[in-house]
Amino acid sequence: MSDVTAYFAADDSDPTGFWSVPDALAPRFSVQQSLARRVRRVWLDTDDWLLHKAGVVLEQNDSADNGLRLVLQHADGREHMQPLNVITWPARIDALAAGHVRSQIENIVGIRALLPVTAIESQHRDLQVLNADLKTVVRIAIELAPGVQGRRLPDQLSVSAVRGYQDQADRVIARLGTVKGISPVEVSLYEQALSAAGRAFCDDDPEPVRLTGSMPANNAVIAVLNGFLSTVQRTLEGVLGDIDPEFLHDFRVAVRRSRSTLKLAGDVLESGPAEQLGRDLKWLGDLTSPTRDLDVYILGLPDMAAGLQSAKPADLDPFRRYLLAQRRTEFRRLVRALRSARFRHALEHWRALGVLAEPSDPGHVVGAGKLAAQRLTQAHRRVTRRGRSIGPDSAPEALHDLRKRCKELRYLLEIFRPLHDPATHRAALRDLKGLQEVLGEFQDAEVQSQAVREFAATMISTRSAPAATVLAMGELAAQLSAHQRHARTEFAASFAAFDSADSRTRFRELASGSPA
Amino acid sequence: MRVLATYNIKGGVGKTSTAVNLAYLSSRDGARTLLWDLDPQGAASFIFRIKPRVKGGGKGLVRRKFSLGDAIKGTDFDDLDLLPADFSYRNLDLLLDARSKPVAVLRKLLRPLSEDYDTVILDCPPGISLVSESVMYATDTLLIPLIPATLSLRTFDQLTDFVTRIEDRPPSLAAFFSMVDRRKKLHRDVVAAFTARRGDVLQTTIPAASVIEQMAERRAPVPVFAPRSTAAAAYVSLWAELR
Repeated sequence: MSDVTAYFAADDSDPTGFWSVPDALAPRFSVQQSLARRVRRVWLDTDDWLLHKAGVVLEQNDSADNGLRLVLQHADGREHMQPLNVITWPARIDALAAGHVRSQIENIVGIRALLPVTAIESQHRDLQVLNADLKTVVRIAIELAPGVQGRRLPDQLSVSAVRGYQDQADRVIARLGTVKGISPVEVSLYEQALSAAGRAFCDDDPEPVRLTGSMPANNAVIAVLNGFLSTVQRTLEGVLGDIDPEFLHDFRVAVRRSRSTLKLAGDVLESGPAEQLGRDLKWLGDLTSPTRDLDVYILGLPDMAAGLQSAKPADLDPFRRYLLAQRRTEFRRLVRALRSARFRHALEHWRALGVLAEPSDPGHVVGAGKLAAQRLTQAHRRVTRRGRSIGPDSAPEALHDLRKRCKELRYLLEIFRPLHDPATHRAALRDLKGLQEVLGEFQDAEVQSQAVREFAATMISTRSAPAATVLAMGELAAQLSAHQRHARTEFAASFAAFDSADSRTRFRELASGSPA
Repeated sequence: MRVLATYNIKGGVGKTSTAVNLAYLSSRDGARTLLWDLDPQGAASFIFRIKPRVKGGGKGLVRRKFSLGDAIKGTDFDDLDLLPADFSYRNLDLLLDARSKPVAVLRKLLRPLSEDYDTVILDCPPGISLVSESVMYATDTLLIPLIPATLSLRTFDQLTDFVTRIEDRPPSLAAFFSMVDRRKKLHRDVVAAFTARRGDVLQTTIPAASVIEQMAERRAPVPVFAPRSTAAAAYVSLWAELR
């Protein structure tokens, strides 16, 4: 194991600087050099940069002598490798064979696919720096003529201390600092390759929507809708390519939040285009629901199978196959629709609405702060009124309705987040999330339990469910009903926490304190 | 993290060569491997060209003034690190004896390394002492190299008896014959009689081979400098049985 401790680049004016490295390190150190070999590296990360955010770097490394390998480097320099079969990126974690790299990244990436971020080809040479006992104490990697997308970078040199020999590495780095023709650089080859490809870490994370309390309310709503539109456009390719389920999830969330924005604050926009967009968004929501619902069942099935008491998890295999087949059908339908003229028109409507409007009467413009205060107060009142009316004998529909009102309040909180004091906002969000979790578990368990029953009925009628599978599905439905009952018993306490005096004060502060 | 230890009451039976070669083979499989040279003679440290010196010595480790991680050195091989020997380990018994639960000390010291390593191999000094007892409490598998001599059987029986008395997670025992010269009738007879009497001996036998003796001179595991030798094949076979 070794820690990367310094990077150097050859000066353009003197590309022979690396040749004098062995002489510069003598006589304290001797150097063993490998033959140069062609290496192609492809750096990998998820669409939302989960590996980078976790402080690790993942690389596919291909060379004639070592073959195809996955190399994982931790922030502390520890490096792990595993052989890799030929693979096409993007790929999900289960496409990788079991190994030390996979075992260390699977909890980080979860269901997200690994995508190629940037690639580089170079002539690679390893130098082992040996001490007087001929023990390797430092490793030097030289990349000659590295090229990214036809663009050539300066030759690179990186110094890694073998674990326990940092002091020797510091000496080597100090000596390299005196070598003519090479200069220290601050960034790794990965960062340089990213930059050469015109990219940067987290460059495709969504831009935060910038709101101020004094901006016209219609422009604030338009800015929010534009933010959601950019998410829809950014995730579209991932949805169509079925890269991983999170693309569709993010797509749907943006659509749902846009719809709620229109419902809760769309009255400040021109009515015709806003109504048209509302119809488009409803269509998009309905269109994406079946595939997303099936994703949820498929992703949740292993956990549910693990909770079976009587049946064996393998009894659910026909159910899983059925869900996958259903998903293939629904996904084809979804792709057709997302490639249709209707979808193109919906995006056009959205973009047309997204052009910031000039206030028609600047003297009577409603500010975003005032709008946020008014709508938050209304939404909070709706939640508290409905919640207080729910008793032990209330029908499930009352809780479902409360869940919808909570979602509206949540969307408003998130939309107008830039206008709020961060600490109060976080606390209010926490209050609401606790209630939403209970309501979500209550409704999801009911919907899923019902869906499992319907799936079972269809599978029986099509003779695709053996008796063991039907029994296991019955147990699943019972498990879900038990979850629902449990959530129902927790409702009163979670609503009481949300409706506490402290929480109400926080929401009042948010409504009154939207800064200009 | 799986912890193995090479151990025998008797010295010169191939404990260090087994520890070094198996640690190398473990890392060659891609497992993150640590070899802890607990023998104050420091033979394993010498083979990997690492100075037998630990900051704070045995006292610093046992009293937890320094973490084990700070003393670890990388070897010349990927995924293989070494915790070097220190001459002060000759007093490790006394240092352990001064602790409240001496046999649990090594296990506690190793615990923080569980995220960093898949395999840890302890190369123990010979003899029965508080150190060896502490090793048994810290180990999942005790590797026992046996030379083909009648007394080895007695030693193995004694050790089995001792280990079965460990109440808290006793290690499994993996005995194998080491330094076997197939040309000698006595060796062949002892191996056959022993295997007949105790069915829990591993199939692999490590030969008495000059390449194993050359490890100290070549300062590398056998599969590195003599990959096609019988001895290298024997260690590969032994590791396959243990894996």
